[in-house]
Amino acid sequence: MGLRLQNIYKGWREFELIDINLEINNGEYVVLLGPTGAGKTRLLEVILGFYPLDKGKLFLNGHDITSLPPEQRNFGYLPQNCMLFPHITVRKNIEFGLKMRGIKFADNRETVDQILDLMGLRSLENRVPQSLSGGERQKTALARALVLKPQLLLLDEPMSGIDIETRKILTEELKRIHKEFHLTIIHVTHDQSEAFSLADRIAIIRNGRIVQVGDAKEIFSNPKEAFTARFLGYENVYDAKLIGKDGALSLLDLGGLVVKVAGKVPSDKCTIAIWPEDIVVSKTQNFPNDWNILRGRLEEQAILGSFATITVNVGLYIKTILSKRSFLEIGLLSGEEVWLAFDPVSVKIM
Amino acid sequence: MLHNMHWLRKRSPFIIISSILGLIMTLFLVIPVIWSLTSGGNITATLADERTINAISTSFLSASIATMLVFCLGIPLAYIFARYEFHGKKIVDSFIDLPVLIPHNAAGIALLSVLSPISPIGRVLESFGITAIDSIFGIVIAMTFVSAPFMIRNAQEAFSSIDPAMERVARSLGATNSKVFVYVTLPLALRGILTGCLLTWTRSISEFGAVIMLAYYPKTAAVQLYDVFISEGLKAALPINALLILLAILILFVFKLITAKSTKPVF
Repeated sequence: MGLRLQNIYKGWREFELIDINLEINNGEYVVLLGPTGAGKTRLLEVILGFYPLDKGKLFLNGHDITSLPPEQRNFGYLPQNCMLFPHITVRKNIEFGLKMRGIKFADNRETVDQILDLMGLRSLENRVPQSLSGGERQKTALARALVLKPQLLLLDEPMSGIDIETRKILTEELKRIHKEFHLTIIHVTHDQSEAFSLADRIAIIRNGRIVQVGDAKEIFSNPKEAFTARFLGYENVYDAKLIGKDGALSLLDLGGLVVKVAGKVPSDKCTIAIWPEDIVVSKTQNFPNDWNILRGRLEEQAILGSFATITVNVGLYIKTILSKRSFLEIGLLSGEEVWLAFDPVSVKIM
Repeated sequence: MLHNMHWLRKRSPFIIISSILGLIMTLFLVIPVIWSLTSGGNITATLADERTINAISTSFLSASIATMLVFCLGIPLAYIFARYEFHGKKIVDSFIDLPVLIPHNAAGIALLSVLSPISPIGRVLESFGITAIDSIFGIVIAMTFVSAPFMIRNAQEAFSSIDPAMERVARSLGATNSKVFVYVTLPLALRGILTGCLLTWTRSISEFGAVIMLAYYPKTAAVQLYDVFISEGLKAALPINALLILLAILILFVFKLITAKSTKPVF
């Protein structure tokens, strides 16, 4: 039981959500992950009931809520930029939902006090939203949604516009809330690290369609599309053609460059993806025999914190990542000839 | 103050010419007002004149009714305009500005042709004992017609500046559409609406052209001024003129006070 989105279609003049099917179990933390413009916020708004559906149905614990207006759904919502009501104080913002539901001041006082304490907002209760920091606003908006004990909490890019330290605190806060309230949460983000640190399951969304759903490990290790692979940071994604077999391995042509892969090739034409981390770089040809071994010219190099990224032209451009220490020890220079190697097992085939 | 005018010391020809032209514009606006006030004669005596007081009362009463009418009918229209797209919106949108653009006596004649007993609407009104000619009703109608755009445009601007996401959050918190409007939209648009109310009211009070076409009687302040000027000459008209200008300055002062932090009005 939980939330079920069944064959949902919703079209706008400039965008459409197509064939959305998703089941979210009670108590589950699901992240909708996708690039800007993928339709994440629109999908959230559809779940909240802001737009009537063109096709499909929405069920909550088995009940059809497709035509239930937003005010009767009891879904907590944290929109982008918090959208706190600027004309009232923090306390009144939190009380707003209770007031709208006709709960009397005397009855809501204790509930609001509890949530103020839980979120550490007691000292800010008489402040107006404009005087709060980004993190405090997020907390207030969360408190405003949580005070109504929602059946489902929907978060739209909750970490946007706040600094790294506050992000860490808010991430912990969300984990705590999820656990303490045993809440079902749908969290929208374009940030994969956010998704992987919080989600029980991730739904990848692209151009108004959900293209893959799974837990973090599954999504990371088996992207189903070139887009997902690139979005997750595979960097090396290429179209390939099956040209033969070499024992248990398949031989793929990547436009003149032949590589061996261990996985099952679904058809003659496919896409492969290789993690930059899975590619080893060396000045000498000293690799296991069954690996793919390529020679090329080092085109680009950059040190980013404790890592270094390099791009090698082997007929194709291949990106690899190694530790800053290894990079300095090997002593790699632009324009130099280097060897690259990767295990056929590490190649993901789509 | 001189410290604040250091830009003048730069002596750029552009700044100097702009300053001179700006000064001429300011004097053009200020001199007639100051002149009327200083040559106004006995304002106290004017205040004692029952005809003037009645005329001012008629203006205030009619303008207040007109403002309430525009508020009740114009605010919903402004909200619909700010939030929704519909067929023919652009056409309706152009019509809203029309009363500001056409000569006001032409507006008066247009209203007269619709409301006089020779038209079907006028006949219906007459059957209920309502006449627009020479009545408070006529004055209110004329004022409403010419001042409505000020309310609609200011309210529309105020509604448009509110992020619809704010209203959506309120819906998710359990507020129905009407509660969202009352508890979120209206308070956030209040300053713009207030500006609209004040502009509608002041524009109604100063209306002459449309009013005189529909209702010479009961006389409004502007009609009374015209009447005294025509029948008794400039000298007799000056004190009433001064009084009306003084009232306008007072209203302007209150208006500035209320809308001190306002977003800029459309008109």
